Amino acid sequence: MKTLYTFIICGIAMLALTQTANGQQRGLINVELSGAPFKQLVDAIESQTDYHFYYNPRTTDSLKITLSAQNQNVNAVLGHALAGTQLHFAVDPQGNIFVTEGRDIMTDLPVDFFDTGVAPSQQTLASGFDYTAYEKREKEKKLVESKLYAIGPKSSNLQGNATMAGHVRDVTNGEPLVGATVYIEKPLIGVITDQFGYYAITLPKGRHELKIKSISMKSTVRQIMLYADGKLEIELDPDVTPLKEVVVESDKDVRVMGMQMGMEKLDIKTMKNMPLALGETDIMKVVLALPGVQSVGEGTVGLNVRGGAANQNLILFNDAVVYNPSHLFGFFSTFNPDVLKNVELYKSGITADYGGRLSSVLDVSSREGNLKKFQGSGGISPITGRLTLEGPLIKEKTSFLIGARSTYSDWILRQLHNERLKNSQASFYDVNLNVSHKINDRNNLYLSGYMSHDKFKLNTDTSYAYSDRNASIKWKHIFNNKLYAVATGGISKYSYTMSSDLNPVEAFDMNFSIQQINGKVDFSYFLNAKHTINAGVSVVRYSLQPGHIAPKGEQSTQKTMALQHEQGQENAIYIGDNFEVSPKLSIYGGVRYSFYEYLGPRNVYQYANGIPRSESSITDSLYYGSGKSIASYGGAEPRFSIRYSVSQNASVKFSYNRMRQYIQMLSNTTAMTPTDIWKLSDAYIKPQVGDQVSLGFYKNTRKHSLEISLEAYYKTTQNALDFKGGAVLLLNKHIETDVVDSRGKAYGVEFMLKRAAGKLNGWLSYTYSRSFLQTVSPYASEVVNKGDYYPSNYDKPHAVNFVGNYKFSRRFNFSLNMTYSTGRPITLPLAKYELGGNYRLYYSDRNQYRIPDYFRTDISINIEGNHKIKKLAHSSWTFAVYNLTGRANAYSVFFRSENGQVKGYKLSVFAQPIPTVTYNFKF
Amino acid sequence: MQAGKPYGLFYYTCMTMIMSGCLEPYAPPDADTGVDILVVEGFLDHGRSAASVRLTRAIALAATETPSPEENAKVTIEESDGPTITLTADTIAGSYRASDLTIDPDKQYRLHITTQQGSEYVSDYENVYPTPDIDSVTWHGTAAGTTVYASTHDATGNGRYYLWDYVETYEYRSTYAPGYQIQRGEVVPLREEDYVNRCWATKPATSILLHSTKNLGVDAMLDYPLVFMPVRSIKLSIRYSILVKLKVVSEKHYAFWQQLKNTTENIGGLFDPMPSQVVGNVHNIRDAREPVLGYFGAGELREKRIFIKHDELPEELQRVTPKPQGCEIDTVLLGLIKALPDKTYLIYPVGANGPGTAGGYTTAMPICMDCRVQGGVTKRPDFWN
Repeated sequence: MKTLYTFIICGIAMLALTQTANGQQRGLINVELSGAPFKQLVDAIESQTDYHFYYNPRTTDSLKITLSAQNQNVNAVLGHALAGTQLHFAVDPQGNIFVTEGRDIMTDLPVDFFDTGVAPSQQTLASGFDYTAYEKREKEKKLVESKLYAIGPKSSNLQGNATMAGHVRDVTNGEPLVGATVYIEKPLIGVITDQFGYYAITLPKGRHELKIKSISMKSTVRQIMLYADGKLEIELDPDVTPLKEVVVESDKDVRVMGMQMGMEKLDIKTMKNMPLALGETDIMKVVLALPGVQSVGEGTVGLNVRGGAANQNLILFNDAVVYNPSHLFGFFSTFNPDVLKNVELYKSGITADYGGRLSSVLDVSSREGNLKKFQGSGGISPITGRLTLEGPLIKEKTSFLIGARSTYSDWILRQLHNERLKNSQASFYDVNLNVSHKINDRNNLYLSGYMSHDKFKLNTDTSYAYSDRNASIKWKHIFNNKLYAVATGGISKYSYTMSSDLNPVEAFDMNFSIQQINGKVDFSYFLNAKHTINAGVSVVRYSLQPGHIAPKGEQSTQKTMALQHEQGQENAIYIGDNFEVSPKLSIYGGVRYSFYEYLGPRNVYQYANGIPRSESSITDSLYYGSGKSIASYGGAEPRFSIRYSVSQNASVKFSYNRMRQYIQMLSNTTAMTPTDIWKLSDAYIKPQVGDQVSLGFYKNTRKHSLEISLEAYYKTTQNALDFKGGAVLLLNKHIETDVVDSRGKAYGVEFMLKRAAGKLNGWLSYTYSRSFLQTVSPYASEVVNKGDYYPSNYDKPHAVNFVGNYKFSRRFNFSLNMTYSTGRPITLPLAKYELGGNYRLYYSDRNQYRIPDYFRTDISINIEGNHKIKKLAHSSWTFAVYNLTGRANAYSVFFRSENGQVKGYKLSVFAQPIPTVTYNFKF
Repeated sequence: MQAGKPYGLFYYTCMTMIMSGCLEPYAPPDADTGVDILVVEGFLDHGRSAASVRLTRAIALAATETPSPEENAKVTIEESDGPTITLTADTIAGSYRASDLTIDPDKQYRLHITTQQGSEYVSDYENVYPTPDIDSVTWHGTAAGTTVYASTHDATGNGRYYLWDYVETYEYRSTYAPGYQIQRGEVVPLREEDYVNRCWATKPATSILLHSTKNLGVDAMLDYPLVFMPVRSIKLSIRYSILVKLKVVSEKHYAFWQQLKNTTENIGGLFDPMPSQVVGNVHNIRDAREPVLGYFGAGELREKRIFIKHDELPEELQRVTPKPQGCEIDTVLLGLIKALPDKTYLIYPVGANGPGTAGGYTTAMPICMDCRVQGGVTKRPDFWN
């Protein structure tokens, strides 16, 4: 027994192997010592009782014991004898006494002692005490934290580095934890788990204390002895057992220490605490409370990130593209809060593995089903009902998660005594299904399916229906600790139909659809402690059916008309390297090369040169056969970021990235509408190219409880689309005659103060941002505002957001949300004139005026059910008031000529406080 | 709210707010300052061998006066490679006319204006489009009201872009028929020609009606709805007439009106197209950037008039038009008559103590007695038989 460690290990081994009978007499002790060596006390106790001592003689040989005890138990005797020394003792139920130096010893067997992997929770603890699940986990946590894990085969060569890897999971359901930080403090080396909860960290060989932190999970540590490359699976406990914690705890150190800038990550638990309209947790609305994100109006779903158009956001749901994330015109988003895990929004510093859109990436991930037990959750709000079920298909290997949500608004509308509303219809539903399967330690398979559907008819004779569907399959293969690959395949389809039977002679059905099939293989290679390399290839195949109209009913004389189908292919290869030059300096350099082809079959109109393109300037039409390239574009997209730590709590970051976008939405309305059409870049419509530089300063104070960040950006867009006045976009056979090339510029500063933890948490942000467009055309008739830069529809210079949560108790939580922003630009009439017997309006230059400023306050109170662990269902109530002050914020301003009079109106959507009650349950 | 639906009110509020929102009047910041822009409305009518042009100026949004006419301008219509037609000022200020013209439908025509200040404007050259006859103007009544429809077809299939217009004329009565008037402090019985209880109102179409058959298999429109009049509408209280007008126009001309419709009638919703400056086909010769509003077109105007009598309506639509609000009869004692303003109408005498004496007169608010207050004239139109 040379060292303390071998001592402990041997001691515990013996303890485990020799089960001493429990009922033996453990008598009282009489002992009288004066300046005696420790050995003498040991002998005395061992002779009077059947206790056995285990200790290291070296730690006790300087000890002299002076003691007088009459009929005392062993604890009292030893407590007295060792008082004031560095020694501790522990007595186990079998009658073994361990004396250690400097630290306590656990007398229960480390639960995973005979396993190399994770602590299985079924193993009974040596103690007969009836632990509750919570206490049991607490105990397990203590045990695994103190255990020393040997990584790699033991060797005496501790020169150089080794890589250890594994997953970080939630102990209660086996779900991987994304974005958990795994790090050591000396020297400061850390990594963040990826979307699978996977981490790989390269450390100097030897003894380390590995720390693991994750949002709303209890932080933990692992004692490791790193001999060589190896594996360590880690499970974390939820911070609060059965309750939803009020946490806005982002990865605290990440903001300062991580490479990424311009990124916001929101956990579903954070989102659920925000007070929202109509009693639904809505991620799109929560994202809108972040600095740099705006929308053109309340109840619209399009996001404008850092002055970009709404179609410039790549919205991913489990790696599949979502084209329209909105229900009911945008009052709801299509993401069911019960199946979501988290949302990441990248505004700048976008890495090379993402591409295809200019402004941002909104990466929405759903949870994986519980690997350990069946459970369900749901909720009822004034508008919707939802239910989610999950559980293992094969315990610890395969799990499923299925969630559905639907509205009963149709039913509500029918109950109304208003003819206008009675004749209206509005319904929607969405369904999610996830299956994840662990093939073995090295291979994992994930399947995800999603579908949303909307149907509405608003007191008109035209009904609309739209649907977004996607499915993806993902296979993750770990080659070794340093290299893993993820292969993803997906299909996304968005379609809508419109049908009218106002006039039977002209009744029609019209439809549109866009489909994309994509494949991607992504490799992550942890070259060494300093380099992490990420590379891959991606292919996207687009096929569009841009419009088809057909007669409806026998009387209809509507001509059947179909626009030619469009197809295109976008290929990309990319590589990026995260290089940690020194603990203070990190660099990310990456490049994506994308190549796009617009493919036949298609008839392409040719236009006369030197005059504006119009129907009358068509000179010819050229036919391209199937698969023939009609137009091709491509180019490099460099991505670069650098982080320099000024101190341990402060850093400066800079990033530059270029993005290319080969598909655009055609819309000449202010907000995105379900019937907007998408268009591939072709011979006339060039792909959009965006460049952004961004500089940020980040500081954490007071033990990381307060985070301050300041980011500035400047970005430019080439080949943005604008439209000639009065352009008709639907069923247009030659859309190129109606578009005008334009360019954009945007700049801004975002300031954010965030308190991540504590009873009072939340954030306050201020954003100053501008966004401009300019039409570029040689023809005066095509330019907007004389060819000058003009503010875009979403140019709102000042925005202030406050989100605060105050936790009165574990059961009672109060949230306040305040939003202010400058009104969006609009075009106002300047004069009126008479034409055709009525007054008409003469409008100003585009977007020269603004609607009144926007201000709103919401509150909500969450009340959790009681804390009994064993009950049928856990439930919670949310009471919320949206727009507490009842301010009539302008949704839009418009003018109408009525009976020869020009009248101006301001329309507000939620002009009164709207209270809602939502009941949520979990079983 | 019915029993058993306790949440009805809540849902109602909620859904109403979502679907119809809350409308408030809004005055734009620069409503009182005008923009001085020339407005041109011109048409060369091949069918009538005539041309008419009206020149006005745009006025401030909040202005209550009518737009000022552009007078003393030199207005001509130029035939491509042909003669020039000179228009002369009409009696209505700002209107210019020419008639008995020889118009070659295979030629193109353009408008040329030189204003008094010397600014010179020309339009683009326009083709002369033939317009088919209006096949029929019909009406149909349902419990909710009456709709007027029009139908047309073009056997040649060249029509495609149609611009409808109409003028409504209707006869109506005031609620009370006054028989007396205060003239210089005296109660004077009205002469028959001064009666003000029977009026005819003439109103232009309030919305732009256009229709394209471009996407239809046949170049025809069957029962295109023009006007809807709800039950009890004053228009159908006695007799109603509508003069339906039809023009076939060029695609560009059609687009102009479409754009005008979009920017005046469907504006403001987030899902409506953004307003834009509607550019016509008239330009300043020297300054292409100067905005000129309106359009000059050439073609044929077809017209058809129908009448609808109140008693021709289906039974369920033969309802009394409600009185204007506050139309209650008041009695004014003789002693107080003098306190009433001059020209006040009185309905009939009350409390008479034999012929020539009256204790007082009944009267009501002007809108209840003088039908002209509601926009009509007492002169019977020529076509009203």
